[in-house]
Amino acid sequence: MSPSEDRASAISTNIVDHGVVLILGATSAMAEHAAREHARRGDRLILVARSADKLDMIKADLEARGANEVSTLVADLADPEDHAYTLENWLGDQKLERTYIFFGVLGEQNAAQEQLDLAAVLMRVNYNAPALWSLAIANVLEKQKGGCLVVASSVAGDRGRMSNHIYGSAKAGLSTLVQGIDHRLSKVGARAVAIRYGFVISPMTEGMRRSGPLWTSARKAGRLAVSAADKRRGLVYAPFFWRGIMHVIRSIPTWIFNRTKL
Amino acid sequence: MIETWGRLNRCDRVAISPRFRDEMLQSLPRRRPLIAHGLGRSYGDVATLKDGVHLKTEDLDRIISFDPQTGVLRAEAGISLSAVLQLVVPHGWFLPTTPGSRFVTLGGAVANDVHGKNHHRAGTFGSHIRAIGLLRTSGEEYVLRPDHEAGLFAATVGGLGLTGLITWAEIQLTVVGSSFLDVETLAFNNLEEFFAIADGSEGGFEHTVSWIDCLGEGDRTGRGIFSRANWCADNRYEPHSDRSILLVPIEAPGFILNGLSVKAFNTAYRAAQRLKLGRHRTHYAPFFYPLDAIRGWNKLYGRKGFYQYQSVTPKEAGIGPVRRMLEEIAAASQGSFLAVLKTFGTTTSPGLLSFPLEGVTLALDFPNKTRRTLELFERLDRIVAEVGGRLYPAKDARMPPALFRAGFPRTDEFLSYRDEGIDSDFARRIFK
Repeated sequence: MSPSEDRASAISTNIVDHGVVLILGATSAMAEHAAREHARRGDRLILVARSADKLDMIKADLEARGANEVSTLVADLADPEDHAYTLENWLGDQKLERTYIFFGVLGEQNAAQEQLDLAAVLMRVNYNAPALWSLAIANVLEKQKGGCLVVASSVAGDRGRMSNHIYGSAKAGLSTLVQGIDHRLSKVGARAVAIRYGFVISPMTEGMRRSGPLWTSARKAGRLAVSAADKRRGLVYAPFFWRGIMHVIRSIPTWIFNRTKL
Repeated sequence: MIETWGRLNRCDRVAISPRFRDEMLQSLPRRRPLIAHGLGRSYGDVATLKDGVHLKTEDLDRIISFDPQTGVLRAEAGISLSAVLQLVVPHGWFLPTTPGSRFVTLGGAVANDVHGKNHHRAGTFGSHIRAIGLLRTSGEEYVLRPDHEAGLFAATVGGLGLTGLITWAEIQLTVVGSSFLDVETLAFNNLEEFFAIADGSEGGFEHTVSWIDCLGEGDRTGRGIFSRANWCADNRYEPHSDRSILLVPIEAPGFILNGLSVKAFNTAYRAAQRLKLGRHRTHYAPFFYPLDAIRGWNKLYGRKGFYQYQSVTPKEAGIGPVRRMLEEIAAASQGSFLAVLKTFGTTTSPGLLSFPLEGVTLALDFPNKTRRTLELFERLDRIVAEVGGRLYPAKDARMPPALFRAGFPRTDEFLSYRDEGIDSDFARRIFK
């Protein structure tokens, strides 16, 4: 007899009994680690991203790690036809317990400020697309009077600076939008949280010199998203110490800040 | 920054971290050799390449399939043995054999054909591999099995990552009755006693290992503590937790591990072990991975780093070479921080360059005192070479090419399977 037959599963009780966890941009490193945390809890997952092959690899892994059920959907999230209709199709009659929005691109500030069509792409992928998804999901959460929306944002939105203000402004707008959605959802018992990440070691930051105490692994960033979704709302920093760092950065007077090349 | 575990040679190096198996050969700089790099637990230079590209496997850590009924696990090369255990232990399975750290990758375990405390029963890690996915830098993909592409399989197991990129591996796990072990600890006063206990333990105990006090001289040469264990049968399956103490966040100043403190440590360790003499029950984590509890313990050796010297001498040579090595170390008054002694069993290792052979293996840590340490190693080399022994590439940072050639007679056969797009500092040093 196999040793696994005579004992109860060691998987901790799942928080999502009947509902489902939806992850938009599921092939990103942070999204995958957040999904693993839910897999460990035995939750049901719907993964959405552009590449079917990558989704299949991630699905197999999550199922082996204990996910109850994993469905994958191939879609270009930056370019949907009708958000509300698409969501309805994906979800059927399942309760949307939790949604993570993890897609985005850092882009090249210098190229984008020269060629405005590149700037437009950055704005669309980092603001328009996640913002419209957030609004569509907020409507679902409002109707079901529960659930949580989690959106990956960035400390880059806290103060505009020369090296990434296009990306930063999109994230600033996104943070504010999600904060407003949370305000709205608080009236019906649902939640939204925008996570302002500091430096994360992920494909987005490939090529930078990524060592030192300020850098967080994608694994930890993914786990932080899940724990923020478990109990927080509104705007949060991840890891927590970025709250202090950004407080200092915002407090620097303009005439001093403008002497830097950050 | 790519570091080796011995921290002898640290510098900024080119590294890429592909996220998916099918991206491993994308975004590579043209015409530059590469080497796969996992969690950096190899002590020496097998996973580094000056001027080359380090292909980090940390994000290739997915499970491809796991059958809790049969214990067959297939996973990507970058998954850590720690993550494997957390997945499989609750289902009553364990690694067929495990090295002394769980923070090594599956790919690294294959490429170094690692061994553990149950070598006399289970052989090496490679003996439990059912299949390997290998991607050559030419773009060719192979599925290797012991009986399919057998030559390339034998070259890849223990092949130090030089035959291609290991993308995944499938292993047969082993059934255990518990996540706890019944451990028995005995003291021995010299090497004769060690060999007597070792001989008497291999039949009745699955796991054996011992620690040697390098400072014992004369008739106390080779005194130490012998530990032997079997899995319990209580059906308690608790995986380890990830928590560890970050004891050593920064490198210690060089004087911390001087002769005196080594002496103090060895005495204290011996006393602590003596207190535990007898039988006790322990979880697998402290039994197999005592040092994993102290994150960054390698930084204790300070800025200059340290060497590990692990040799195996054939059974026929008996006790002599071990005694002579310990005497050389005592004479050089370079007490080793931790000295581990273990007998290897008769199971033939599957790899052309696998390290274990029937006999006794001695592993020693030495703080890097440059010339003095290297001179001691030369004297130890002579003892190993004389009896037809060999050194463990995963631990090595300095062995002479001739010693490697003599120790690994199938080297030429291995070289015919090398991937030309892959190189390592170790390979350049040994196969030049």
